[in-house]
Amino acid sequence: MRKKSSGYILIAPLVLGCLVFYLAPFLLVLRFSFSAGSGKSIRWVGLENYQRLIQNDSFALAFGNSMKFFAVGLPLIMVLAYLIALLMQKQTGRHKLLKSVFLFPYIMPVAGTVLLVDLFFSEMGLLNSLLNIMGLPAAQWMEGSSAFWVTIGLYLWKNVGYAIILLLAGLITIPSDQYESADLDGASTWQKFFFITTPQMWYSVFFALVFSIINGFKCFREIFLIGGQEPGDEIYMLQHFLNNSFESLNYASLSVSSILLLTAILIFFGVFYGFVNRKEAYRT
Amino acid sequence: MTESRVFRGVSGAFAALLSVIFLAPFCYVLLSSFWTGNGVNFMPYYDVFWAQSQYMLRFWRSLGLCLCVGLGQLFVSVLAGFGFAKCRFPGRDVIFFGLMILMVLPVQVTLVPNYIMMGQLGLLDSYLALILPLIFAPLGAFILRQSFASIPENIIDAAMLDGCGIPTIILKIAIPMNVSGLVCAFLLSFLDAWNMVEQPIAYLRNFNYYPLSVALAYVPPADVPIHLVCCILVVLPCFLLFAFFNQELVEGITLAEVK
Repeated sequence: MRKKSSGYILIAPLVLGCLVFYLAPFLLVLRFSFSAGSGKSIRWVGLENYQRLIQNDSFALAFGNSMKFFAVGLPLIMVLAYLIALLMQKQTGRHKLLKSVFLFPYIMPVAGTVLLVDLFFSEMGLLNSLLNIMGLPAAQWMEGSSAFWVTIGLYLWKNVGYAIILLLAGLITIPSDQYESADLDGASTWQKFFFITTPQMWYSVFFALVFSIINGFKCFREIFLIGGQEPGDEIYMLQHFLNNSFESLNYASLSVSSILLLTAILIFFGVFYGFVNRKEAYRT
Repeated sequence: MTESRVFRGVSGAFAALLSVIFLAPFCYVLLSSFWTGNGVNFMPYYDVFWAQSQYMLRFWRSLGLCLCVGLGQLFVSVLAGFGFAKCRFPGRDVIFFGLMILMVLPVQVTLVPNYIMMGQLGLLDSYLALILPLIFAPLGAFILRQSFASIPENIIDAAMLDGCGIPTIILKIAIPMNVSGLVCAFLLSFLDAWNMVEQPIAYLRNFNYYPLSVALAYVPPADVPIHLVCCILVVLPCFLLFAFFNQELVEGITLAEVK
């Protein structure tokens, strides 16, 4: 009675919309990445665009910066969220509002966080005033390498709550008698963490990672609004490159960078998902 | 496991510290919006909310835009979420996995082709260009599918025996049982729309149409107090929604990972 056709009808609006607005554009991008010229003079050039782009300095900088952002930001946010989730497990049970407090930076709109960063980190901002009061020289927070750390800090502040909640949800499902029997057997905290907590948390860790990556890409919005179209070298991200190529209507480089970005994401996910599945294989 | 008094004290203090870190910036903005060096001053509020109508105009426009997105996505996601959760058809898991991949894509990847397509459809420089792609974002369907999957099969079977068609099942059974999932999906898509930056810059040519999220950053009012009040204005809808629905939001996010 739950006929096949009703399933197809139900998912039709979403799938059709996705096809039109996400999949078809993506296929177009794929085609663009292999061709050159525009309008009537499109011709197939194979991998020539890819070769040219990899040797492009701006692209290398942008790609490297984005990878650096995720290579630094993702482990930091996962470790931070995991630590906080572990420590706060009992507290959140007692104070229901605590989880909502964790989510509060996430709901702060982009325009708001940009204003905040301006307030805190600009030359006449709060942080510099504090430093002045303490007699230390004011620092240029938004220039140079510290800009990168400000961005990371912003990403952490905004999104750690999301990961905390996901990890907390996983932690709660672990039955507490496992911990109690481990205590009876004299297990140390480290052993308990390694042998009880970690094996059952892989699924939650995977989800926290997925959403942290999605949120990491959204962090570009703040960087864009703070730094403008041509920000300093340290925070010139892949999406800046995409944006600027968009402005100059350089379809080829735009498409190639999108495809390369997507390939990196897919490889990462494929590997991690396979890893998680293997770890979770013993559970039905 | 039993925890020592020390641990409880330390973790409590840590929780308080975290709360301060997470809430402090917002409190600072709130306070300084009406507290200048010389005392309490509500003039900026009066300016933004009453005297200079440009801010409120943009605010109502942005609000309408985001409500359209939120409701539209809710409608599409409820249908799709139920379809993926409760109907069996070949290719279901493959399609769902494909949607998950699409969910991760950053906006820029599809920006250019969307721009070309909107140009051909004549939708550039109108709000439809902003609304339509966001309505079909897979995130809502993802959350709702997990949420609908938890409906016990026997309830649906009983309903079908009583002669309910699928629309009735969705309306009378699925939706009332999963209000928190629906609220969470609506909230997340509203937040996404309220925060959108790349799409307005790409698709809209007329600066007057820019929603609040972008307009504020492009033309920051020179006045610091007005700037701060605008910040409050931008936060206000999100804050109100959050204040009323934070439980549902937390539940919905948690649901997303239930196996």
